Amino acid sequence: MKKLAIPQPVAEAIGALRDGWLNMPPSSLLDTLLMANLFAPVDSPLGIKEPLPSRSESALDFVLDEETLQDILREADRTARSMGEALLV
Amino acid sequence: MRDTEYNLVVKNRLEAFGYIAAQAARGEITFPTSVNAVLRLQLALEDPDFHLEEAIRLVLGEPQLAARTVALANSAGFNGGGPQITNVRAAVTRIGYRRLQALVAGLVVRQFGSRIVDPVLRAKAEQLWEHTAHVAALAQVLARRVTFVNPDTALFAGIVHEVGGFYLLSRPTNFPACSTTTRRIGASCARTWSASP
Repeated sequence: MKKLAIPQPVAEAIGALRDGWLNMPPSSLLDTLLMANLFAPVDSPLGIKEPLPSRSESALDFVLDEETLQDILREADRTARSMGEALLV
Repeated sequence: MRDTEYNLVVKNRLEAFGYIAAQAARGEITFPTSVNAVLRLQLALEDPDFHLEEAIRLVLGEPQLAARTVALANSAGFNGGGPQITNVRAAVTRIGYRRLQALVAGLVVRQFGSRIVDPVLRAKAEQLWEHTAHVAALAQVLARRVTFVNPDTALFAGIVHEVGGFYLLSRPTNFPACSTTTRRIGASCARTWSASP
């Protein structure tokens, strides 16, 4: 992380990912990364991803209705594909 | 190289990268890229006094990065139906420093992956990249719509969140335990990696 010059707040959020708990309502960079990992359609092949406790998932329903979630997933999917095209040269 | 293409390259170095980007996108060129040059840009982008001209100069110093910057600026996420961008200056202006930083980080991440020869590990690196791209994109959208943290920071964090995994996959002989899939070992490998110089 140091060699990559990753800024402190980002490095801290990534470092906390392994044992991180989702806050309610989700409001930090760590929460953002935890949720992104939870909803990612492709899992990490290294199995480092920490599964979220199930009560967080049910609590998430209060923050995100199904329609908003689908909307977010669609938008992210488009971005992920265009990133893949740009980077997979 | 045909005469017209050669003239284009000579006439305007910035414009030439549009042409190179198109070739690279078709898989006709592979560039050697030094991780150090990319890391230099990464450091420079952290500097608040950093200027656009300097960013452009550094991006141009790294042909693969230049090609990808232009390609990213023209991708669906950034183009927004605007005219096609054919040079680095316009590309950097369109995507912004923060996203350039994410692109640079993505490039470093990918470079670790490109060194992998073993087909099993390569397949893992490909899956890890797909996972990374999805997490980064989701983090950006979730930041904007749910958690209200800086979306560009979230995108960047998403891209680098598994950088340790790429590094480990690229060096299986140094970290033999890392090709296993147990969480405990993965975590200990990540610690090993973050402690290494």
